[in-house]
Amino acid sequence: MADDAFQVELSDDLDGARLSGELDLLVYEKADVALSPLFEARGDVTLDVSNLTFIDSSGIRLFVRLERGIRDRGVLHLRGPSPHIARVFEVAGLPGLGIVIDEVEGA
Amino acid sequence: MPDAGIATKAYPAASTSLLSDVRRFVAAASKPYLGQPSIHDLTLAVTEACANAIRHSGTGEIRVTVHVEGACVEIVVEDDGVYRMTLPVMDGDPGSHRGMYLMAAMVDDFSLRRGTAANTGTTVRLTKCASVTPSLSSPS
Repeated sequence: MADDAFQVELSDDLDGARLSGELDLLVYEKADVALSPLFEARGDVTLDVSNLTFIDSSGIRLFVRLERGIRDRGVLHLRGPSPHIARVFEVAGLPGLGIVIDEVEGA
Repeated sequence: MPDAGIATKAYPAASTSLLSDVRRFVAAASKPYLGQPSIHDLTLAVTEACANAIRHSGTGEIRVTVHVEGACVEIVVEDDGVYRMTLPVMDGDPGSHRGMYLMAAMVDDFSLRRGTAANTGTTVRLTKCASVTPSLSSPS
């Protein structure tokens, strides 16, 4: 399996996940299924995206859907994006949708 | 060494690794000419163009060509399908047409030739230029 294969590791409390690899249209369904427990989260959800190496509009769409799913109960945080991923979040307008981008110092 | 800066690869549209394969091809071909941030931008734009072809065109194959012109890398994405024209609708869905918007935002220039039922084959051209011009005194 390539190093850049998309992977999801859910937190034990089901209030977040660690994402790694490349998130694009062709792994969208896999990502959707893997993250589906988080749509039922009771509060804030934090996705650690520090090991995400690529994201396209499909991945952005998934985050937007997740934010909509939990909006009544909590806030979606995207933690530690690389400069490129952070720029994609910005250009795609995620901060304007209420999704919080947590930049990590020294990441 | 004619056409040294030109390379084409063809991918079956049904390939489950098409998008990552295309990104590796484009990144490797662009590396001598663009910085890493620009390569990231270009691979995102190319991914969106290919994803659009996979989702909507009905093509069996996608061809990706890399041209180098001066400080710019042009990627041409071609399919054999029909481009489904949809206008951005302000329907309150923040996800609608984000792919096309991202594609356009990531490159310096782009163009689209739409495949139709009578004349199939959509061509998307995406151009990314090195952000720092090596020499202002280069002959034009």
